Amino acid sequence: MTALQELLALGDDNPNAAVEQWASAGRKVLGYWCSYIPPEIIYAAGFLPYRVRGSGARGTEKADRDMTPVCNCSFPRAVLDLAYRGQYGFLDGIVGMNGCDHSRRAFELWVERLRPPYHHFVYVPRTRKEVSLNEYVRELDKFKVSIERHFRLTIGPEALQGAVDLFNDNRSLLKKVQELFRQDRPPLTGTERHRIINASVAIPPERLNALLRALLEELKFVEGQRDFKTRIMIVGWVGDDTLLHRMIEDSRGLVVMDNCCFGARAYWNPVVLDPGDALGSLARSYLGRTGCPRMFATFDERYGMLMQGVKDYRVDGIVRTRLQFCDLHGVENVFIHKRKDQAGVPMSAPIVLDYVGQDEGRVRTRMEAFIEQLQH
Amino acid sequence: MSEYKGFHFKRFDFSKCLDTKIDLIDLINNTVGEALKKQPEKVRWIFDTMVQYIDELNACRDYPEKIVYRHFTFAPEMVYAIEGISFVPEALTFIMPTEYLCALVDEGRAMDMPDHWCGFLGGVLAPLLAGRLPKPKAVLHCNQPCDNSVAQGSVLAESFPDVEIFYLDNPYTDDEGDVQFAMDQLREGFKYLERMLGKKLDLDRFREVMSLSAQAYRLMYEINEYKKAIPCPIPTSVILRATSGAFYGLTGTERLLRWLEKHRDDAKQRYEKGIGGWREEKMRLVWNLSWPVFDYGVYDWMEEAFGAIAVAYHASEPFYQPPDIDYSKASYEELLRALALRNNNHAMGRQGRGHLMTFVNDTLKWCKEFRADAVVFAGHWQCEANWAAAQLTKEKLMEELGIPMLIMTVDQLDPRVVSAEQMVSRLEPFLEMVAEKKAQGG
Repeated sequence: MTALQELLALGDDNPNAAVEQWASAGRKVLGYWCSYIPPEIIYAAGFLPYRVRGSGARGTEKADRDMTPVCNCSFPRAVLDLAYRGQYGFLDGIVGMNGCDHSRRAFELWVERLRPPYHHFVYVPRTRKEVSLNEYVRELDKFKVSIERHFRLTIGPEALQGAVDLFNDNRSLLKKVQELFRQDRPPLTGTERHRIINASVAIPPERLNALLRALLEELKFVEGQRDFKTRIMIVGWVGDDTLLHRMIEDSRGLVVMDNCCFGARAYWNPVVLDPGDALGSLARSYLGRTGCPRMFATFDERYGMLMQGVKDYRVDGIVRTRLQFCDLHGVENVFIHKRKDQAGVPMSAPIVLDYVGQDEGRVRTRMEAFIEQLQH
Repeated sequence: MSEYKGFHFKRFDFSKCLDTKIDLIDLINNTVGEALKKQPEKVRWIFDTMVQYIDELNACRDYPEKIVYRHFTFAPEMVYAIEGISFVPEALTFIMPTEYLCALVDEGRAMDMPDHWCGFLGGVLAPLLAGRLPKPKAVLHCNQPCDNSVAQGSVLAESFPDVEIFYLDNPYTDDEGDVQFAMDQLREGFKYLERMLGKKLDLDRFREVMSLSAQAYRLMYEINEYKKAIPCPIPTSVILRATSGAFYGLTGTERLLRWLEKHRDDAKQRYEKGIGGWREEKMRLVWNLSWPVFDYGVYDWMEEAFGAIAVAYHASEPFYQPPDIDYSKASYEELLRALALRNNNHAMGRQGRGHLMTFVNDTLKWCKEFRADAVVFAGHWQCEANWAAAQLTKEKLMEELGIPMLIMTVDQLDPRVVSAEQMVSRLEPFLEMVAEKKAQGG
C-alpha cells in the first residue's frame, strides 16, 4: 500500500485502523470537538487525540430528537447521531468547547445523554485581549489538571513541549502537501488533500509525520492532474465530508486551496513555543492564529489569507459555501460579497449545504453551472 | 384583520415596495411614537418604557458625541454610569412597523445575509452596513446569547472600521473565577469608555446607577411574588412584556424605578382585591423563549379561548441578585462585581452563554415558583442553543413535575415565518389537552 492509499483510508474510516491499533495496545483515546482544543495537551498525557467527525453518518434521525433540523446544523447533528448510535464507544472521554452554539450543545447533549467516562469543557474566549488570553491559559491549565486528576497521571513540561514539536511537524508537512498545489498540474486532487486532512486529526502524530514524509517522496514521481479546467478555492466549508470537493472535481474544477476549518486554516499557523511556558504558548498561538469566524472581528485576517491564496495558487474562481444554519460563516459571505469587486476572480453565490448530502442534486447543478461559467 | 374562529388577528400588507432608506428614528417617531401618545390616560403609564426608549433614540441626534452602541444583553448600567446615551440597534426592529422590518430583512438577504437569520438581528444588518444608523463614539458588544450576536459583532466592525469596539467575552459558568474574569473585562471596559468618550468615570454616579439597578431588581422580585398568586393579578398581555423591554434597556435609571413602582402598586392593588388580569384565569403557562411581537393578539386569543395566562416569560425573568451592600459607599471593586453578576445573569444571555442544563433548570424553577400547568416553548427559529435544550427540558418537566411542554417554531418579528394564525393552530390542540387534564384533576 502506498502512503497515499494508507492516508486516504485512514482519513475515510471513522474510526480507522490506526485508532484500533492504538487502543488495542491498551492506550487511551480522547475525542475532541473543535480546532481550538489543543490536541497537544491530550497527546502529552499519552493519549491519542481524535477529532470527532460526522464521517459515516447516513442520517441524523437519532440526534434530530435533541437537535432539531429546524435550525440546528447538520454537522454536529451527524457527529451526535454517530455518538448516540455507539460509533464513538471506543473513546475514553470527550472534550468540548464553545466553538459555535451547535457544536457546544451537541457536546453537552453527548455528556447528558451518554455519560461518557470522562468529559471536559474548555472555554475559549472570542477576543485576544490580555485578560481573555489569561483566561484561556487558565482554562488550558484546568483542562490539563482535569486529565491528570481523572486518569491519575502527570503531564510534564517535557511531554508538552515534545507534543508541541510533533504537532508543529504535522502542520509543516501538511503545508508542504498544500504547496504542491502551486504547480500547474498538482500531483493530488483537492478531494485527496481533504481526505489527508481528515486523517491528520485521527491518527497518532508520529505516524502522520512518517506517512506525510513518505507521501511527499512518492508524489515526486507521480504525474500531475490533467483532467481539470479551472482552479478553485473553497471558502466557508466546515465539515470533514468530501462531497463538495468531489462535486467540484466531478465538474472538472480542481480544488487547489481552501479557507476552511477542516482545511488549510487547521495547519497554517504553527505553535510558537516559549519553552518555559508551554500552556501560554498554546494559548497565544491558538487564539492568535488565522482561525474561525467565532473570533470577534477577525474577518480581515481570513480575507487576507483568502486573497493570498488566490494569488499563490492561481485560483480561477471561489466557491463560497456554508452549512445550513451557520451564522458565523453566513455573515462572512456577506462581507466577501461586499468585496467581490476587489477579489479579482469570480465567486459563486453562497452554496448552502447540509452535511449529510441530501442536497446533492441541487448543489451539483449549481457547481456545474459555476465551473462552466468560469470556462467562458 | 384576519379571523380565526371569530377572533381577529393583524393583517399585514407585504405587497408594497417600502423605502428602507428612510430615517428609522423618524419612522419610529412618526408611527409608534405617535400611537403611544394616543393611548388613554389610564393605561399610558404601561408604555412609558417604550417612550423612554424612543426618547433615548432622539437624544442620539442631539448628543452624537455620547452615543454608545450596546448589545441588548450587555447591561445598560455601564453606559448610564458614564453618562453616555445607550443605543441598541437591534431594538429598533422590536418597535418598528412589521412591514418595514420585513423589508429590511429582505434588504439584508440581498446582501447574502443567511435567510435563517432572525429578524431581530437580521433587520439591522442592512442599515448598519449601509451606514444609515447614527455613528457611535463607542461600542459595547458581547457574545451572549447566541452565535448571531457573535456574527453581529463582526457586522459592527465591518460597519464602523474606524471605531474601536469593546467585546466582552461572556463566561460559560458562574464560578468565582468566571465572575472575576467578567470583572476584569468590565474594568477594561470602563477604561475603554473613558478613552472613547473623553471623560472620567464618576464613582458616585456609578454608585447611583448600580443602586438604581439594585432597586429595580428588588422591585421586580417583589412584583414576582404577586405573580405567584392565583389568579395572577397582572394583566399579562401587556405589562410583562413591557417589563422585559425595561430590563433589557433601562436598568440603572430613575425613570424605570418610577415605572416599576407603578407596576408593583397596580399588582398589589389587584392582588389585595383577589382579581386577576383582564380575563378569567383557568390555566397558567410558562412562555419559553420568543413571543410574537408582530401580534400580541395571540395572547388575547389564548386568554379568551382558554383562560390561559402566561405568568412567566423566559426573556424577562430576573436572576440577578443585587449584592446586599451600601451602594452609597460601595467601592469600585464592589460595584464592578455587582455589574459582572448583573451581566452574567442577563435575561436570555444567562441561558444562552451557559450549559444547556441552565436552560432546563431555569424552566423547572419558573414552573415550580409560578405554579404552571404547562410550558410553551416558542422557539425562535434561529435560537439554536435554546432549541437544542428543548427536548431535554420537555422530558425533565414531565419526569419531575408532570408538566407538558409544547415545542413550536416562531420568528419573534417576522410573521412570514410563522403567522399568528399558524401559532394559534399549534397552540389550540395543546391547550385543549391541558384544559382536559386540568378538568380531570391532573
